[in-house]
Amino acid sequence: MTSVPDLAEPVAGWRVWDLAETREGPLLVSPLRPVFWPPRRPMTATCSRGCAPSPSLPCRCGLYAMDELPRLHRESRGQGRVVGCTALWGRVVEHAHGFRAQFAYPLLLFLLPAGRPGVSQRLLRRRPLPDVGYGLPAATEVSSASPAEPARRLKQHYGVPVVVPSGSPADGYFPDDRLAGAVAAEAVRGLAGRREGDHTAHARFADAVEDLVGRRW
Amino acid sequence: MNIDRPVRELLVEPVVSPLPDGDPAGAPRSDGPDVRVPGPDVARRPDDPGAASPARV
Repeated sequence: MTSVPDLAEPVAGWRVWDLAETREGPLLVSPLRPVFWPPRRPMTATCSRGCAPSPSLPCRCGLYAMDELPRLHRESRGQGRVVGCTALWGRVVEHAHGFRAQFAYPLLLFLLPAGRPGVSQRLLRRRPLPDVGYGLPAATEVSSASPAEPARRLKQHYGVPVVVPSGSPADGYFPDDRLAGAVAAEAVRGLAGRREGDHTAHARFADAVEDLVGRRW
Repeated sequence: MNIDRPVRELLVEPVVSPLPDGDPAGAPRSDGPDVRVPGPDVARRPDDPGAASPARV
């Protein structure tokens, strides 16, 4: 018996990543540390202080995501090359404006045009990612001026929809609250469908995302 | 990324198939690195707007 309440519905949040290029394909990298999110495998949180499982309520470890895309945009202040909606599950600490989770996997990615290097890109130059069988450590910043080709490869590598926004930095690239909320809702509905054994939910989710962002972009 | 104060803990059911269906690459993947996320012993205050806390991934 546990005091932690169960939550049947999947949880989705918004976060940013940097993008590193390897011989095997592009990798999502935390903007804060040279830690990559593995393609086609859940990202798992660990804690050097021994939280088991990570995260725990009093600690600050875990996989971070914000509850709303516009809030993420305000908080990230241009950090990160990739913005996305990610599924969160396992032990999840809900915060006033977001989540810390035990497991995560991206559901939808927005690839922004190359800008100034993020924190992790600067770290990568000093401390490359370890060789873990992905053809690393040849990880370098993705610096192509046109995001179309990196977007195609990112989609293939992670198997999730990748949208290249056509808006300008002045617009913040992101949709308004209502549209962002609708995208997250579709993400969660897709997860719920798959939990029930609906193997076409992923395709329907991708179609729904295309419909949603297509109206805007 | 300031997510503000913790509110509650949840145990969210594992998603049966969170990952994309099928793998075009077809090849088994490495288990990946032992990703360690340092705790708050090396982190800044959570309300520090510029905090690049290594506890966060």
